[in-house]
Amino acid sequence: MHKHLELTHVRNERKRNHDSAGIADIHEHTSLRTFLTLDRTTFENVQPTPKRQKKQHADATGIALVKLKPKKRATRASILCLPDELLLIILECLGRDVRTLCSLARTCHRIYRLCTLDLIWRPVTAGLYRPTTRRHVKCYGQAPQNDLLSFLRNLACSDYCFRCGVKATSKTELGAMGEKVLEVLSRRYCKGCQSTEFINKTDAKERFLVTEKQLGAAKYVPKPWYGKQSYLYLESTIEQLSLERWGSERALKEAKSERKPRNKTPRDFWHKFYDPFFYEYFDDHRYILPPYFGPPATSAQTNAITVHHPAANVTVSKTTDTAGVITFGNVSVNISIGAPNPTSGVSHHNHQAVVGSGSGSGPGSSSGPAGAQGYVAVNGGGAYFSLSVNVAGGW
Amino acid sequence: MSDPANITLVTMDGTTFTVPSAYLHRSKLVQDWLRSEGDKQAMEVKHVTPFVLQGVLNFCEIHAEDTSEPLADPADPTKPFEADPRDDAFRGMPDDQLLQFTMAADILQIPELVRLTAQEMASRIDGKSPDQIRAMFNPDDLAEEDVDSDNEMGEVGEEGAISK
Repeated sequence: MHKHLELTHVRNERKRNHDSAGIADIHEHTSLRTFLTLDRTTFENVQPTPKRQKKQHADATGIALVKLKPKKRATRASILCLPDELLLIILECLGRDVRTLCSLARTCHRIYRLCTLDLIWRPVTAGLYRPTTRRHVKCYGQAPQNDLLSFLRNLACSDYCFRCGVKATSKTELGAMGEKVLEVLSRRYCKGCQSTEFINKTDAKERFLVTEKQLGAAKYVPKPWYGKQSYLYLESTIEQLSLERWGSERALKEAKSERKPRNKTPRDFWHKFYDPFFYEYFDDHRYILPPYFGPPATSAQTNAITVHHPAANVTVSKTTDTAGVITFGNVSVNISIGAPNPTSGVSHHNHQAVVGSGSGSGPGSSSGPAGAQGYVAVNGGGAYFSLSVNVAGGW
Repeated sequence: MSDPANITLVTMDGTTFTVPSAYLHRSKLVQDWLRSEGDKQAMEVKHVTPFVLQGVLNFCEIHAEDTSEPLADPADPTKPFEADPRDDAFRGMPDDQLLQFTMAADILQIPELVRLTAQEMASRIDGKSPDQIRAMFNPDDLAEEDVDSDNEMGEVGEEGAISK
């Protein structure tokens, strides 16, 4: 690593030329370019500013509102007595709290210069890239090596994803919720991170057991959802609220185990209908099953062959007595050629033509209760030809 | 190198402290002084008040028997800081004294004490607003033009601040 990039080196440098070095050049020598780095020229060419005329703010009575007290010489110990290297040690001990660093930087000019050192912000940035807890990895990829402050600033505003640091280059990459998220949380999440970082209200209540009252104070992203509005919360926020309520993760887990699971339809509701044993119940109790639960209809003869043409919905059955049954959907035509059937010979002899009324009982006819049937039989001596048309009604 | 049993320290106002030299084996300043040539009557410690020096010597007395490696770097991030129950008295002191102790520790170059006080100061600064920090450690002892530019700087810093 470069020598200048070590904070220890900065401290030693400060110690060595304590008197000669001005404060301004600490950035010059050691810091990488940051957006907060003061411009060199402004300090080199600066003239000692003339003392401003101190204004006496006086009201009508003439009493000075602002007292001009003479500058005191160190009545109290000040943090500014400490040398830079000691201040840097303190800054290093501060850790990764960004808020503290910023508020410390606002206290005075000299500390501000130290606080804006790029090296001070390195652990902060590195902390973003390292898993702080086992569950959350805040950012992916490699942490930036320089220009950390501008990186952090960009991260905080819109064009980088706060979690993964991916820069949005187009408006579509902002995602549908991008604008709203930016507005509410003042940071941006890319599409992928939005799906993992956000949690809706129902899930928040169910998984983290937070109350409605707690959620009222939390920031949320309103999301249109089927004409209604759904509330998206940051998962980390919800986790924090849950910790506030339950104290620890363990307590939350215990509380969750004590609660009854929500009464809702099991996902495998339909599975029982696929279970063959489910229907045994109906058999045992002599329920009358609707016909489609029954066995598929087969012709009376065991040695019958049925050919089905699926495209035309035509079924041709051949039996031993060479009868052909042609079925078109609800219409079936029964053709039988051969020797007279002794069982049905009586009805064939009469040259009957019966139309309507379900009295017909042709061989292999499968007419339903509301079916219509036409029946023609020609008896020519020894040979026998019969044609029957069945129109099966609905079930 | 002569190693006297006792070392006499003189503070800024002439008060003298005589302590066994084993107490100060952590102080790099004293060690350098012992190694150097010349008159070894009394060592003058400037910028340190007797009260503070007394406190520092108490610290040294407490930690005289410590056998741990002397710290090379007071802010070594690889070695996590663990609070020593013997140092509770140092942690409870008011802010002004804490600053003076930090200063004295830096002058005497005792890395353990520097670390202790820096950690303590850091923990006091942690989570405070700028005004609270100003009230605590009084960094606003500035010339007027400094104060003005300080305010401008503060605004910039506020914008750059990241809400976490």
